[in-house]
Amino acid sequence: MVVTEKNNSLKIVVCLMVGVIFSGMVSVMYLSGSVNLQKFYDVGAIYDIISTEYEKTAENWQYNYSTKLVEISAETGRHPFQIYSKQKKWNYLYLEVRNLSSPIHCRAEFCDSIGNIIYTMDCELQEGRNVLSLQEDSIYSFNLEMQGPSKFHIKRLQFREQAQTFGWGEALMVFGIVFGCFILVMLFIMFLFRREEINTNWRRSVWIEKLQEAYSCLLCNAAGLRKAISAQKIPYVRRALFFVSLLIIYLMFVSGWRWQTLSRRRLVFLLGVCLLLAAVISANPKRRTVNWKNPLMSAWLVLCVMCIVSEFIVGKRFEHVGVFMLGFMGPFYLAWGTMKKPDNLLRDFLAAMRWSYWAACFFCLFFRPAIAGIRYMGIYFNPNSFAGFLATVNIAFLISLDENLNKEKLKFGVLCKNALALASICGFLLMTESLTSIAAYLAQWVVFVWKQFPSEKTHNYQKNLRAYALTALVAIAVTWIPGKLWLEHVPDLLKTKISFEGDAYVTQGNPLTLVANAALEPETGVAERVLSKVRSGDWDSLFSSRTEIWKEYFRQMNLFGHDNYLESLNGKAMSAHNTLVQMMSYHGVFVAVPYLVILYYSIKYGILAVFYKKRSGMSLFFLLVTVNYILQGFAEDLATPFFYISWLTFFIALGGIANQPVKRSVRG
Amino acid sequence: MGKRRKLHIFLFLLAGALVSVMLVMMRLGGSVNFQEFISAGRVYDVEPARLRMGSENWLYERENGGHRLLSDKAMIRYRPSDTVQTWSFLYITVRELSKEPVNGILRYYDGENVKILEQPITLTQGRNMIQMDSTLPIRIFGIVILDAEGEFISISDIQIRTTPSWFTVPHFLELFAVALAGIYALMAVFLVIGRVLRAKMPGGGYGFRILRLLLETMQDVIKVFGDFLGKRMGGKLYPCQRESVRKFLFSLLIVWMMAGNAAGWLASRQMYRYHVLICALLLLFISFVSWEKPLRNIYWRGPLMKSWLLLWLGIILCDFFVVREMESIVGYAMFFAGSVFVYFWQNIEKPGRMLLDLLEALELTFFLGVGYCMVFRGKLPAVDYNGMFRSAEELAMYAVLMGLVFLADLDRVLGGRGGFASYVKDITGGAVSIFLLLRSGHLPGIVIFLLLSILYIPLLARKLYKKSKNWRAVFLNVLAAAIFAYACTCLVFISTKYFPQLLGLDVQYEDELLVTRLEGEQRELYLMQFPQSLDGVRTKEAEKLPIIWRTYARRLNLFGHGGEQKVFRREIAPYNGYLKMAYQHGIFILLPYAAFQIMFAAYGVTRFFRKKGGKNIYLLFLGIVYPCFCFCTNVEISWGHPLWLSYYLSVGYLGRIETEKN
Repeated sequence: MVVTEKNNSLKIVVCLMVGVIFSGMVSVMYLSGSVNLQKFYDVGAIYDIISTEYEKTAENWQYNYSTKLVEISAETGRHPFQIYSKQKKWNYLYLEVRNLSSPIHCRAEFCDSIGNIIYTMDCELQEGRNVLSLQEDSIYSFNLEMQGPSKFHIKRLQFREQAQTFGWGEALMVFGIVFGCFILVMLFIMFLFRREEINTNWRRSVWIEKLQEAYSCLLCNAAGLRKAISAQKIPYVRRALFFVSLLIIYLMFVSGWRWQTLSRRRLVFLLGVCLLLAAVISANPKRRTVNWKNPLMSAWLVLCVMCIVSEFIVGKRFEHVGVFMLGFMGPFYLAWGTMKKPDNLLRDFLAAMRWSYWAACFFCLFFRPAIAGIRYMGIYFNPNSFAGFLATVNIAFLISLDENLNKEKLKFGVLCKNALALASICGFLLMTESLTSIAAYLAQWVVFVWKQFPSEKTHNYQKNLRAYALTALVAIAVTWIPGKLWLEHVPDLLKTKISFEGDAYVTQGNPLTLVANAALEPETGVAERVLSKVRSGDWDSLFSSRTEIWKEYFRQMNLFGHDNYLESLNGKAMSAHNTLVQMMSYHGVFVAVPYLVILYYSIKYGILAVFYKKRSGMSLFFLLVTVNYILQGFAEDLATPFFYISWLTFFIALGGIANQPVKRSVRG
Repeated sequence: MGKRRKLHIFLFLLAGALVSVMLVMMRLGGSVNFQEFISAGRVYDVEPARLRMGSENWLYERENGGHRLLSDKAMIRYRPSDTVQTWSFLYITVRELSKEPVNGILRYYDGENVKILEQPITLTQGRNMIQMDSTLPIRIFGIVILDAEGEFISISDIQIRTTPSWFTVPHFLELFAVALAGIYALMAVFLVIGRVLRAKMPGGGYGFRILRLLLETMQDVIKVFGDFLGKRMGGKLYPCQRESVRKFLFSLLIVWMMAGNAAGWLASRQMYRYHVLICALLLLFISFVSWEKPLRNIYWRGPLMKSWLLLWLGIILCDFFVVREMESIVGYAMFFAGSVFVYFWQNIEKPGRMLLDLLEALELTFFLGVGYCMVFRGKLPAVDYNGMFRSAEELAMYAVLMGLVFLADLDRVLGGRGGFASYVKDITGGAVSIFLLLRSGHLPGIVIFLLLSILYIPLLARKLYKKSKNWRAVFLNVLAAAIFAYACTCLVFISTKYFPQLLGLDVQYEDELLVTRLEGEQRELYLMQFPQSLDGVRTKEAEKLPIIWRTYARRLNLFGHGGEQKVFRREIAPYNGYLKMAYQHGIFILLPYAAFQIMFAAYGVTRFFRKKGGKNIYLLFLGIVYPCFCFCTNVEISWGHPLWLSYYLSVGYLGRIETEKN
């Protein structure tokens, strides 16, 4: 009798994903006419003037937000544009217009560093693509002058080093052919090796077993430390360690240490030591192995190896993520898996998250006043980051609520604290006006409510729910009226206001951030922002210019990744504002495969955990964390390691679902 | 007193001395600065060769070792930097002055070589400190001696700097003595407190526990993966196959290292990591191939292994305090791949066999290397020979190592193992090694080899005396082999001189360090005969060394630096192993470094004088040679020189002694 694992569907999906990436890579290399693994889309430098630039009003140049058209109201309409890119010498200017009311004469004036016009170029502006061949001089800014009243929509305003020699319609065909060939080759390989027995020793599961053995040695050797701490103290020590870990992540982001290599290395090491200590004091010495033979852990292992390889080849500014994962997170996962009561560790982690929220709350109330007209930044210098933190810690309170609602005897103090926290988080979130985090927050509530519908809800539950609803109303009233007033006035009254160096006060400067872009929108308030984005009907507005960044990141994709953020929006180096894109940019395009597998299985195992009988009410945690991570990661960068609490929470949560029961099919 | 106790006392004394040096340097620098103890600021020392050069009105008299001034306004100019910079102090040490004192002018020149300031100065015999105008950025300064036509001046040292120098040897020694006494007293107090505390902790202090945890975990992890991979590689080979594969892999590793060195990858930030990666992988491969039976944990808490591990761990830990790239790669590769290798070696049933494989690989690659030199690397006239390496110094170290290897083999052959072929191989190899050593013209290398020869003579005499019964056979063998060796050496001599040029296959490396002994007039005369033949060839000057060492010592700090220090406006290696380690990884790396060298030598001696088993002069002499080279050469060529590799890997064999003892 042979016992085998069946994972054929996963293999096919992985194969298809590799095929899609490979085909995309080959297609762009074919279209760009060069085989360059450092930059697949090697068509020279490109610089886009982003839409917000020509939406600004200028001399007889108006932008109509409802029709999305530039309107030239007089005989000449003129708009100045700055070139923020470091590169100043360009060969072509592409001006692509749509819905042109009538052909008009267009004059482009190119200026030097002090604004003097070096030369001008004229053309008849026509519907579609207009290409101007530029001279060799360095250009720092330029003016577009439209001669004659007209209306048009600018689809692309782009400087290029090389002319575009192909259309994107062609790309689809090339992609299709390459993908087809890839599938054929794969089928051929499968046909060749279908009956071959692959040496089982070299399969992934063997390596995972060996890895486990290695971790187990470490945990066993360090067992002396566990004995030094009494059993009663272990939860407190663990909570303290988790709290320190969260604090490290916070400090790394807020202080300038994240840009200083040595400080970052030390903090990362400290974070690793905290996790390792938590692992050592949690591990069960009698159980040395757990079942990691599942796609989630395989993908995790592959991801770590890919990170290490990419870092070795390219070198990273935010380094050591692969080593950190294998060296510190791995033992932590194993220790968690071997625990007799794994929920204890989760309980401590959630407690640490709650502590971190209360500490943050205290800090905000006394040191970080809310300023009218500016999105609230709380303990961070950026509203989106603060919102990410809030959405993540919200999970801890939701889990607590979930547990409490099922209790026979509910403590009033716990109830109040929980209601107060949930209400204040909601209030803070609305003040940040971060749509991404609010979406993640709402999704958490949806999952939470979904979890509340099993058939056997008891009388206790109904009673607790009513009590909770009443408390929540009071908490909302308390936090939203006196709380908000406190936040607006007390830090100023006490003169304890603290400003961070990088505070994104959009009114004070920092004109090139996405926060600034979002603030340029005429609407304020969450509801109005959502409505305006939905109504706008174009991706740029919907994602606050993130599409421009993603476009630039895709242009720079390569095999082994880049060392740092890329220059994207107006030539400024910034994160990709999307976790998947950022991962691909850091570690090479193929990292998307294990990464997506991790995300998929996190959701799958998260859902399974909810239904797993032996788990406590806290099992909802895994699903909530994954949902939160995916939704936040859609429009924010959660791939840069050691910076975001959402990042740490997600990778810690993986440890809880890493140990899975084996699905086996028996072949006689 | 046990050996370990003696070592602890030595380390205790050394630690005290290092702390004292640190304190004294900070006192001299006038601030508590762990980034650079002495806080010296920018310093430029004028090159000794430049001091011997003259100008229009300063005529250098070689026989008197000074300058004759030819006018009443005699000027000489020096360039401290390639760009304009401000300087605050100028120190001129005058060895001899025919008329004392002399008045002069210090001239400041800007980037365009335009005079911007004149400052009156007075020079007397001895050290003259001149305070400069620190607001003016200059590129060149000139010293003008007034009203001294026909007078003689001999300057031994010129130094320009941004901070005052308080360093003089007597002053340093005074402070050092006081600091040392204080530190030892303090350390004694701490020692007593530590003993009291340790008595309360039966398992040792936290430091010992963590170290034990680290060592045990490391071995366990190596065991897990080592057994798994070893069973599938070495486990599937017969012992003879294992030896052949090992020999081949060792040869490959040595050739790869030498090729990397020749290609300049050791200095390339981009290539170095790949170079080291391949080395580490080869080392791991050799380890896995050497697997014989399930691995057992080894005693690594002895002084030799502890110092070896702490040395690499120390290098890695510096990464938390200094941003460097190439320096830490060495530590990572040796700590991980080297530890695996050592662990496997110590697990082998007959560890001597592995050592023999390493030596045979060295021999094999040596003959290959000599062949390569004969065809591709011609000897340039009047220039020291670099052989297959980038500098004559490296060739000398290699020649000494190979001399040692052949000597050890000859010693074994004289012991009765091996036939005539072995005599021929060892004597020929030894003779070619000596030839290459002499061709390199590297004096320290020659002296070290002579020292080894002197040490070996009594051992040889003893061995021959024991074999006096069949002395006739030995004598005939040696004589025949010597004749053959002589012929081979002549062939190598002629080949390296003519073949590459004749065949048009001469290979020159990029940025190769070519040195000549010709200097001054000799060099000029030679150039008149053979113009342009010494382009890019530097003059060999022993007196440069103190300045280089001083420059490095000035920059010593707690956690090290990345890269090399600039001396005479260019990056120059320190020509001292201890200084290099202290400069790159912080002053306290010298503790494990020195401990390792001492223990290596001690175990080498123990191994040689033990009563049972084979005696091995290779390890005994290697333990002497390496520290000797440490004093005056750049011996720390990490992953780039066979001597470095042989020295650090041999710990696998010597570490077995510790395991057997415990």
